Amino acid sequence: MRNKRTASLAALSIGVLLLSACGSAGGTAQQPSEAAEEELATTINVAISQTPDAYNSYTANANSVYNTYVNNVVHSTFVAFNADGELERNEDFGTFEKTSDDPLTVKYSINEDAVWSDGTPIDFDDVLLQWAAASGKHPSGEKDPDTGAETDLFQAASTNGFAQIELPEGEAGDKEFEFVYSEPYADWESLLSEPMMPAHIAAEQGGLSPEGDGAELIEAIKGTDIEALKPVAEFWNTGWNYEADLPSLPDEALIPSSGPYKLDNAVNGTLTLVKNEEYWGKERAAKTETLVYKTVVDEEAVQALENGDVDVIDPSSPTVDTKSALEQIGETIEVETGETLTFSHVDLAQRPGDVFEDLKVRQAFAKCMPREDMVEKFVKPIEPEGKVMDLREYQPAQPDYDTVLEGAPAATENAELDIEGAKALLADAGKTEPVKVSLMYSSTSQLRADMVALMKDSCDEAGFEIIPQPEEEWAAMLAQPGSWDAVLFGWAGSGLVASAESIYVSEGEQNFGGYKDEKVDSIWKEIVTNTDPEKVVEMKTELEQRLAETQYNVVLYANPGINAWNSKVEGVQPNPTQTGLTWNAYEWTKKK
Amino acid sequence: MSRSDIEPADSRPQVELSEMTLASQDTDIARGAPTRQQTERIRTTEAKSQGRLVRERFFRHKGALAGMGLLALIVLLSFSSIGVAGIPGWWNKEYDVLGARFNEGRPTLTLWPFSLGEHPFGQDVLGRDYFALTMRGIQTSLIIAMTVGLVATLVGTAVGAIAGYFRGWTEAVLMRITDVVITIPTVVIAAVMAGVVARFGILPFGVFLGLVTWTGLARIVRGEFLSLREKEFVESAKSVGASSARIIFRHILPNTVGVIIVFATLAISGAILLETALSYLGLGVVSPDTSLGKAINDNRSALTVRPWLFLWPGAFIVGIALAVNFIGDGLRDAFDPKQTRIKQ
Amino acid sequence: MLFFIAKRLVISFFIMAAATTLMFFLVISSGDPLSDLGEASGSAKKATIAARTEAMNLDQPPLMRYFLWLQDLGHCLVPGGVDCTLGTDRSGNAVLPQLESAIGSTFRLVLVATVIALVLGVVVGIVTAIRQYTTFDYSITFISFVLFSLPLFWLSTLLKQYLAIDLNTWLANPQFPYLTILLVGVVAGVIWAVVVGGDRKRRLAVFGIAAAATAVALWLLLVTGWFVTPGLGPVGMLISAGAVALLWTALLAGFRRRRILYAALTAAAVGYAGYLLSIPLLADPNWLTVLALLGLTVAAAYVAGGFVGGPYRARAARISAVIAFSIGLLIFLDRLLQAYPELSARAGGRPIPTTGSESPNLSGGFWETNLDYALHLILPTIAITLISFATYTRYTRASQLDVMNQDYIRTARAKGLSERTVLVKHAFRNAMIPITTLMAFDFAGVLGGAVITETVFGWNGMGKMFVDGVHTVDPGPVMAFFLVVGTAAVLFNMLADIAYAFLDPRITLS
Repeated sequence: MRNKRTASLAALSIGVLLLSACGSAGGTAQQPSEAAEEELATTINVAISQTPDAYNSYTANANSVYNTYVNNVVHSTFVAFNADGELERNEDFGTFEKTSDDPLTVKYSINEDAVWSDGTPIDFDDVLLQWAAASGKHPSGEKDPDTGAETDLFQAASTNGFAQIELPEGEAGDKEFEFVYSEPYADWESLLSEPMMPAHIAAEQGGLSPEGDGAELIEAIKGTDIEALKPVAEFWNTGWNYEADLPSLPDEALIPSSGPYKLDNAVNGTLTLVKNEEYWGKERAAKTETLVYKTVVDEEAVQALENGDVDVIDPSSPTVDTKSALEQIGETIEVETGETLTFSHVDLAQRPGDVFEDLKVRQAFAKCMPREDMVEKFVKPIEPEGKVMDLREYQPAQPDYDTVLEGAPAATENAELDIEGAKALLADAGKTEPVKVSLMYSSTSQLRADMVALMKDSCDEAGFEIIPQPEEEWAAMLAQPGSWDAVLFGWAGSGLVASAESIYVSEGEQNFGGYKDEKVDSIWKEIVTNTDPEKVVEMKTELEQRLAETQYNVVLYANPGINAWNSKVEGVQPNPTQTGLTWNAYEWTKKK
Repeated sequence: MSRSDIEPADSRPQVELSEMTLASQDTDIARGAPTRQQTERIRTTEAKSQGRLVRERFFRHKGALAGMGLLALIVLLSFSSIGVAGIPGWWNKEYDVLGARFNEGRPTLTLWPFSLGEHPFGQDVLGRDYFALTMRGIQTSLIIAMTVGLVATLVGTAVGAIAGYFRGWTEAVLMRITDVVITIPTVVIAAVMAGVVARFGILPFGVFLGLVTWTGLARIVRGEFLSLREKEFVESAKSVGASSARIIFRHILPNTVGVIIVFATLAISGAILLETALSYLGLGVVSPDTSLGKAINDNRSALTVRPWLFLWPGAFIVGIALAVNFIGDGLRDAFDPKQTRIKQ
Repeated sequence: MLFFIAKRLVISFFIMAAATTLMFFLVISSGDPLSDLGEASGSAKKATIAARTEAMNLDQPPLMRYFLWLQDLGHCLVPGGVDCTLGTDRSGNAVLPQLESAIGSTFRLVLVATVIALVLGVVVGIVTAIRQYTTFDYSITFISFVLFSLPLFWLSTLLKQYLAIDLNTWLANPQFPYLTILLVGVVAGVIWAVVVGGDRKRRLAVFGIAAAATAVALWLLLVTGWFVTPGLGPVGMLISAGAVALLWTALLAGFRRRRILYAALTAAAVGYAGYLLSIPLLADPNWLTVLALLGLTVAAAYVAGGFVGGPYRARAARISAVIAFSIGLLIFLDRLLQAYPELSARAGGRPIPTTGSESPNLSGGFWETNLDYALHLILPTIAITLISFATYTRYTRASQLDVMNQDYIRTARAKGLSERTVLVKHAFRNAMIPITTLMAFDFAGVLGGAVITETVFGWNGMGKMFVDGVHTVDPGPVMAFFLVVGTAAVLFNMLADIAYAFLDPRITLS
């Protein structure tokens, strides 16, 4: 009996061993053939963190990077930022040149073949509508209840540049036109980088005739006919909005495209673009039939890419684990990291009576910042090349960074972590007690909380006492003097020359700490009116030197960015600017 | 999500139970100290007090015992390791002290041979000891959960008792309020306000969550009161002129203690999970404080890279909720023996 | 009855009115709707504030805003629905279209999850009650408590990583080592042995049969490439139809009465005939055709079963109808699975998505669309089902035990009725009464839980609408979400009360 049982047990175990040795059942017989691999897929899926909300991304309400993601390929513009963060002209769409410096005059000409996807030519009425919308010269007659200022008919995201342009001369159907500036404008070159909207649609929806290349609309704008423009402006403001979370698209006739792709349909937050058959250009013609934008939040993007739900991801705020998680997936995906134009910094309250009123205290604070350590912990796990940032107007990803840094020696003076130096400075400033600093940051960001913990660890040794102040509504509190002593947040560098003015000049709207310096004010005055690109670096170097000497704030590092895509996709080139990854999506292809 | 809400339906008035309680009150309290003769009588019939019966039944429930053990272990571990309220614990690291990272912050815990090592659960990106951080998270989560349990139970009992005892307009008003609050799913009402309340610290946060989760109990307690107030022992108490307060506290409430305790335990496990859900929505505890829910939410992207950051706090959430649920099950069986009777 | 419903409706209306008021003021006092604009500057900031003020009526005092919202709501309550928008969100878009688009996917999710959890939970709950204090009972108790204790999003994240991604990888080349097949068989054997119970010999026999059957079935599925091109096929359908007939007969009538068995087999034959005949009709049907065909099959089986049933006409007809209905579901499933290879290829061989509620640009027919829905439902449904399942099992078990200890069950047994009759006819129906209340609670609860599920799985449903609204302090979408959830809660409570009365004749509605 016992023997029998042992024997059967032995037989069973041998059987199991044999079974485990001799392979497995099932499996697919056929291997994918060679020929199939050469074919191209018809669809590429792109993950974006938030659903786009409007076709017109130049309104104040819809001016978000997620709309830009789509508009990159459904609108053509004269210029756009490329992968190096530099302006690149789009000759497919048209050309332009500066014809005079005094007054600043720029001559544009739109490609003769350029048409909207409904066949209407892209010409003067589109340009004029853009000017009308962005110039801020069409008062609505209504008063803003808070400021008392008169509001404009058009709710444009920005009037920078356009506000200085005289009413452009031209006739309906013109493909060439001139912008004449009443005062010099530094960023004239990038002025038309924002998409132009189809004027014939706005005219029709606003009760004007779209016939005759938009002659009626042109007349109304030329004559500043507020009554006639009112419905047009209303449509321009909201008529191109999508319903929230994109359950569907507006009527196809309302949203013609001027780019390599056109909007096709939207279902439940997923947006589909198809090749624009009317696109005239050669260089930027779409190479893949369909682009699909899927809304996937950052945290879920890696798994979605791994599972093949999406082909390209661009997490807006990658964590230290994002890169390792992506690399762990293996060869089926490609990862590229880099520094973005967005940078983290600490602004300091320095109005009379504030903690950081004294320059020495500001410098001491800069000296005790463990910037190397932060880069080591928060940047390098994502972008190994990442480094501490010392300038304010240039990010390390930009070519001019090193040149400017050389010319502004003060920028590196307080750069090294120097606890003793900080102590000495505080002693100089006559501080005997620990200096209490209420440091505000976004309560929803774990990264910011971790950074503050590091700062506290280091600066408390130097004679500060950092009190972490997490706030959910930190952004609203920025402009409330006295509600914080220091604040940690990020600025997105635009690549533009003059856009940061209000951060640094006295009483500037985004100068939250109350910094005041006459020299800085005067340098800025020069910068914004300068139209010669050659001189910019020189002036900005001077600016950087002064900002560093006076320790405007503490700059930490350029935020690292990470992009990943299915290795079958070709042509993806990360772009550090806010233009985003899809800037060249017309070039992308995907192998089957 | 509102699992504690589901409780009510089947806990109907327990007739046998209340009569037993009354009997025991008669012997022990009402008549004062038993005479020798009475003691003798009790011994011969082996009458057991309600409390003793419950205790005995509870201790026979193996799952509940295991749950008690597990919960006690977790509580002991979290409070003794890093200490509480300034009293230091046996673990030599603080949850908020930064340090150098060893071996990329990998956990040093080994089971065989058992050794904690330098950082048993590893370290986070700043080199903070994740064991201490997890223990701190357990403390926070437990404090929140206990507060929720306490507040929800107190409010629920008070509303239910008053409505059930006084009836009439009082009842109508209170129960309509209950209906209104119950219409809004817990996670929804909590989500709307949590972001605001969480800023004031964990205790107000717990109180707030308690204030939105009491409705289930109010309904049950009211049901109990409705049936108990018609019983003879209440009638007799009334006839000798006992005040309403006395009747509520001395005569009726003790008879509903079973359902209340069961609800309280389940409210606690529900609160742990609710806190986690709110943390996920970014509406919970705010750093630099931490909780178990916050810990797993912060480390969501670490799952495949540094799994210990995601799995340890999660395991403790499951552990605590599991233990509390088993205890609740044991208590229900102990107070309501109907369900444990073996079928014929 | 009508009076009861009318009374409940009036009360519910006032409760909803109070609850919406409460919610509205909670939402608008939960933060500053302009808080995200602090960083902005210049004309953009001014214009955004102006636009948002207009869209959200921020220039009005809170009470006025509430009345304005009520007015918007009122437009929707008036028949004809002129200007029915449910207000606007902060960008000035009407809320109603958003809600309409969001509601479909959310209800699909909640409904499917609730039904699956209910069926599984009730079946397992009854089995645990019957097998009280067995290993099976203890294991299920333990498992359901564990499931009950899982944080939803923690579980979802794990499911995505270890179920979806790994399963998809496996599906690309579905094979198991023989050892795995064997182990699966052993595990299945153990489960069945524990469920069926009995003495040692019987348990061993059950173990052997179940283990062998499972392993062989798995092996067959693998070698026939079922995981590549799933479906039942004519042969599989024939076997399944027979099995379904036997199963229902065993459960509802027993095999003692031959005529009923014959009727059941007739129903299976009718169902199979329906399968063969409907092949051309089901190429690309719509829901109406599908339901009509199902109804036709059931009716045919009812008549045929009744005819064959002879002396047990009524009962045989009912059982036949049930069998035909089950076979109808099988046919539906089979057709659905036939769309699988195409969808799988479309998804690049990774058919189970981790994000989204449907594929865009799917130009397929009825079957492709619905299978696509089903595939997107898999992960979130599992997550919700696992947790709801625990509740249903526990309650069913408790309720069933409660009923089985009642005197009338003892009486039924004493009369000499078979165990099957006692359990199915006397105990089950009464045990279900408390479950109706639970279902009402659970449905509303799961709808609330959709807030989490949808965020994890990237669904653009009502939950997401709600969360976004809460974060941006935008009452429009939040209130729209609440209108649906609150109404569902109130409505389901009422339905539960009515169902209660229907199932329990002792209760009268007045």
